[in-house]
Amino acid sequence: MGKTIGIDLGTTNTCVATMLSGKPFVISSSTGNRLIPSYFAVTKDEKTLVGVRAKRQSITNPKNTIFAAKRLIGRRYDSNEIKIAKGKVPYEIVPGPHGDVRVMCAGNAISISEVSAAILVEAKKVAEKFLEDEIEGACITVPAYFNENQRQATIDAADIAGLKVLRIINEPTSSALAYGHRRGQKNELIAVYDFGGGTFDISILELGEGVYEVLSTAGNTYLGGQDIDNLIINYLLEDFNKAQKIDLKEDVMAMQRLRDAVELAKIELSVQTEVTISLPFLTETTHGAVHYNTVLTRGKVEELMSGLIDQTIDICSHAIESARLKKDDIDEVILVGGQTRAPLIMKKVGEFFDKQPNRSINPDEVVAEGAAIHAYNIVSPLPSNILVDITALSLGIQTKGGVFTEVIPQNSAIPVTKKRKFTTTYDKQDAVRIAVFQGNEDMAKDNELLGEFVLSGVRPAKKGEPNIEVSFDMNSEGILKVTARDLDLGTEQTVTLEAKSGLSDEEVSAMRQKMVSLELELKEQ
Amino acid sequence: METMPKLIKRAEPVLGLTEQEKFVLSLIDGRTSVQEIARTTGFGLASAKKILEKLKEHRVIEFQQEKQEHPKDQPQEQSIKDLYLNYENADPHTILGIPEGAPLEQIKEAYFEKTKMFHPDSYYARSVSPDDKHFLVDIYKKVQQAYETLKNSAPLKTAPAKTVSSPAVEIPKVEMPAPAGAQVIVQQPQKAAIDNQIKDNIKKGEAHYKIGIEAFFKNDYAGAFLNFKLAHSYNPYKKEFILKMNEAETHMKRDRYEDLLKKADMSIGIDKPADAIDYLKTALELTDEKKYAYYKLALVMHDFNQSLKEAAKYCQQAIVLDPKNPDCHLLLAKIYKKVGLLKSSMVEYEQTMALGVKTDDIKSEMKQLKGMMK
Repeated sequence: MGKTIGIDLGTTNTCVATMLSGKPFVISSSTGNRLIPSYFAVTKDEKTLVGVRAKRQSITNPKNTIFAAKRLIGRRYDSNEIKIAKGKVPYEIVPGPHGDVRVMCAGNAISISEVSAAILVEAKKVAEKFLEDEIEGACITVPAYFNENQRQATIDAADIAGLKVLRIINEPTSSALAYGHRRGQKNELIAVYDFGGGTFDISILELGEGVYEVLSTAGNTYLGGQDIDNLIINYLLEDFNKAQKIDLKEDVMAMQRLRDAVELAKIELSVQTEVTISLPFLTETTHGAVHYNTVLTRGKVEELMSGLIDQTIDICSHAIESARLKKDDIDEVILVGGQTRAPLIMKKVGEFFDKQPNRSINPDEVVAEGAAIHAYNIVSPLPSNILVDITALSLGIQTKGGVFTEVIPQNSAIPVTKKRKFTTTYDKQDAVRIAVFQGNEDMAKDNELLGEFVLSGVRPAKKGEPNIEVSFDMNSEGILKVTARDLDLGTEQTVTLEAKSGLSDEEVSAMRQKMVSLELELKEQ
Repeated sequence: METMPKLIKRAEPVLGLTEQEKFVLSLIDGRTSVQEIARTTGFGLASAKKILEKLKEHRVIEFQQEKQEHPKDQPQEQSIKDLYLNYENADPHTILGIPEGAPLEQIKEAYFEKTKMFHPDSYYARSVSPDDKHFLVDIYKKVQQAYETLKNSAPLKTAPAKTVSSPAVEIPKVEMPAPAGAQVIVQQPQKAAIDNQIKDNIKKGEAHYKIGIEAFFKNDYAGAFLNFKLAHSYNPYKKEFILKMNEAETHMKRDRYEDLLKKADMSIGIDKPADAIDYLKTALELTDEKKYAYYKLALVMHDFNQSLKEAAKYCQQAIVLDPKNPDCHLLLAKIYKKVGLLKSSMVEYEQTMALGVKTDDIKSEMKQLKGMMK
């Protein structure tokens, strides 16, 4: 029998873990790194690089180095997120054949699932090398706020990488599992505060007798450690401009060096009160090289990030409210994500919940540990832990005036079936169009379209008279079945909406073929 | 019924415990019983009990009365469909199997129990027919619905109802959702399997450690590292495994670093600069003494005219680490000249001179530069 692993496929780093002697164990690569940078690159001589090797050459090969692919996965090319992302990354984003997103790398348009697949292949390689065994299956984590299309695109990536997905689980749930596993069985309410590189979310869970029930989830997909980096960078740019009268914004290489320096400084400021940023030869003018030296204090950085942290605290109280709880009901607060090492976050979170946050698990590795526990657990005939997850986004249909009417509300436990009655908008209307959306916005167009179909053969009558029942059925794999039925005539239409990652089955298998050769190449490296 | 020890603190190595006690602690995983510990360790029942009592005193583990086991005589095989029919039109209390007016705690307990039976995760690894799966999912949805209904209307404080032993409503007889054939999986054989695994792991850990030590004295640090690491993963409670692992890793890294530098030199010898650069970059990752690797990288890139901008960057890094090295300044001057940054090049030549290297070559280069600048 092969082994199972858990993979935290992150925006900036990827972490892989397995179970050894009943305990989660983070696997490090042959060079001793416990995190694999989520980087993918093609060099000038058409060599494909993944992880550390891809990140290392990113400064000199910015156009052909793909990073932060997680922000693009499963999105449509015309979506708002892609428009925002385009201005932020040095590589080129182009439309794919089905309205999906591709990136240009050494002259080829590559799908995002393929980029993620390459990173998964690297993770698989590291695990296989360590375990000296084949990988039977993996649990892969995604943010709670990923919609069905993003989840499907992640599954596609695993298919391309030749990894069997046991379950896709939400990152906060996974963290709670890792915590609960260490703690032993105990009944308590816990809050998972996850401040990652690109997103923030908070989940409230109830642990009891090996059952992990998610009560509520809330978050902001545009709030993360990178936003704090950007605030610091802007501050330093201004400082540099004041002293040297040089605008660095257009200098790709200088910006990258500044970005790296800020990231390091930020980490160092978690333990020190001030840090010197020294960037010799930052840029060149006709008068020679220009160096940059400055001192960044923790106070300044805290002043810059304080507003963002307050935003997260507001979201926390919202999550507690939707779980119908009070702040002091929470027994334990777990911090996830490297950014939570910042003393200000610990202080503010501690003040809000009125208790010291739990820091017993490495915030960079806790998600992968939980995934490894669940992967091990699920293939055993008598699992000791059960995860009851919820939908972080509402599911519903578009009704009169483009309004989004929910059928499965946010924070419903899955699997779930919900029904709701609808009617016609015009006299003698004999067909209705059911457009299924997912999201938490009031207008349908602001949410993600999952699919649409038409129920014909509705009894022609005055508007508002026919009774049309729409039922949504979501199973634990996250596959949604939508049925519309005219209750008076009994006509029925059922559609299984499989989330669209933007790739057809043929494309996925073709990409799998391509990936096999990369796998061999990586094994030799 | 026997008692079940539960582990609270499993990660922290516990201070003030004997080797024997630590060993026992490493075996406990929430499912083991005193008998099993005794069997696995060979300490004998009485001494195993004594050690566990002491661990309890140290508040390392706690004992909990084991719940009533499932009746030995398993209920008559019931088809999943029949099971579903029991649930189909039942009221929330019947579904969860609790009396009306039950307090929140009891509702939750019942819900957790039912979730463990019917949640899709609980039978993922078992072969269940698609039809049965369908019924099981529907049962779980009923459980979920019942819980949500009751949770929000339950009395908040523990009412005396908790002590009610026989439920007022008839409970459908369901013990396990397992279909015919899957019922053989009872806890006992699994427990024994876990025990054997732990025993096995400890043995394996010692074996790997031994191999690791041998490899270490043969200077095969990579082999030693891998074996120590495996030993550590099999038995995380042994400190010397970690210490040896770190020691081997340091040696391994240094070995690999030197090896890579050699390989780079060889690649230069056979005119393969791209390979040399790759080796050097990897070497750079492995060492804390980076200045030599930086300089070497810049030198190769310059000598073979490979991406001079990158060469300049590496050379600059070398200078940052070793500002008083004239070789670095000289190389940077040459690189700058090649890229056309004449003024910067001039500055670097001057630096080289200032550090005491005043060859005729440099002087003539500077003369040439002055000419070009005019």
